[in-house]
Amino acid sequence: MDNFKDMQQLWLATNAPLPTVDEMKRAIRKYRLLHLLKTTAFLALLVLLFAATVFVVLYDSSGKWTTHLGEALYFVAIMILLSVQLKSLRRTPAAGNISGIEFLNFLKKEKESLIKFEKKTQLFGFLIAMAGLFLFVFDYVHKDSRLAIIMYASLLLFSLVGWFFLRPVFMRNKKKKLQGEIDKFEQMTLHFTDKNL
Amino acid sequence: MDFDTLYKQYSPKVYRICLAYVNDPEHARDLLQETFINVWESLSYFRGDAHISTWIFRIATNNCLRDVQKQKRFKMISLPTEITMVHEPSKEEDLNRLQQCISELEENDRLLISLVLEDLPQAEIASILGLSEINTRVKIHRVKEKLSKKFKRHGQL
Repeated sequence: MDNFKDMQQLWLATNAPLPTVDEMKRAIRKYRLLHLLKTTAFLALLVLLFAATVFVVLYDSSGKWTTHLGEALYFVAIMILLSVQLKSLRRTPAAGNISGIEFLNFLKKEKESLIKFEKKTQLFGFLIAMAGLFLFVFDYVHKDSRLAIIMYASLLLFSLVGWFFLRPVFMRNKKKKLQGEIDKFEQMTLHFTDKNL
Repeated sequence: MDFDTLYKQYSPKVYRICLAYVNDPEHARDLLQETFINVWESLSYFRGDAHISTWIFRIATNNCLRDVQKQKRFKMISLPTEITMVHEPSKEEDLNRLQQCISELEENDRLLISLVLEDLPQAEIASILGLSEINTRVKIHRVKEKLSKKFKRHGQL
């Protein structure tokens, strides 16, 4: 059995007892429910954070203005980092309306923008969080110069370690993974479009 | 067309396309499920620009293409039916040999040959993958040749 028609017949005669329509519908409903729960939980977390920010900044009368500003900045930084996660939760629209090559290009661009977005957003989020932390502790240490020096030196050390040691490792791994996927999509696109391959 | 009719008509084809791509019944079942989740969610938005089969096969092939990035993060809900291949014992060996040969092809070729094996017209395959018809014809010819050679070689071992 060597010719292609025979292979085709063999392949098409392959019977796999697939799930029934009802079983598939149940599985789909379950999947959609889980997805909905995850999205709802995430949005609830965002709303809670936002409400906490508003409450702390507007209604908490204790502390100096530097403390409130520090808290607000810290919450903003958290919101920014959560928005990165929200972006990654976004689902691909209408896969049935675009061809394989268009879809590969879409995936490639999505990964490229994720690399750029994470790079810029992370820097922005980190700077805001650190500014928030520096402002927040001011009220607690400004009366004691020795404590202030120790606290700010520790915070500086913490941010330097985070920025120069932890962040590069995290970014390198993430970028390596994303770049690997981009390369794979490029290679697959080339394989589709190049007549010589 | 309603979901039930589409599922009954296209699920075996979609399953085989996914199986040819991943060469793993369990994984193919996940991709089948993912495809019909997309069909379920987007059916009301189906524009009718292409034939419904083209639309469904596009979803299936695009899910396969995306599989490279999703393997670790996308865990599907387990379906109750155990999927096993049902075949006459004499053909079982040939089928295993065919699956083995398909799995040795490159990803794109596996996708292409799965659509060819489903006997789809070249124009529809071109539309699903986004290739020109000439390019599709050339590639189909080459991949058929590759598969036949592999099949022959595996038979001689």
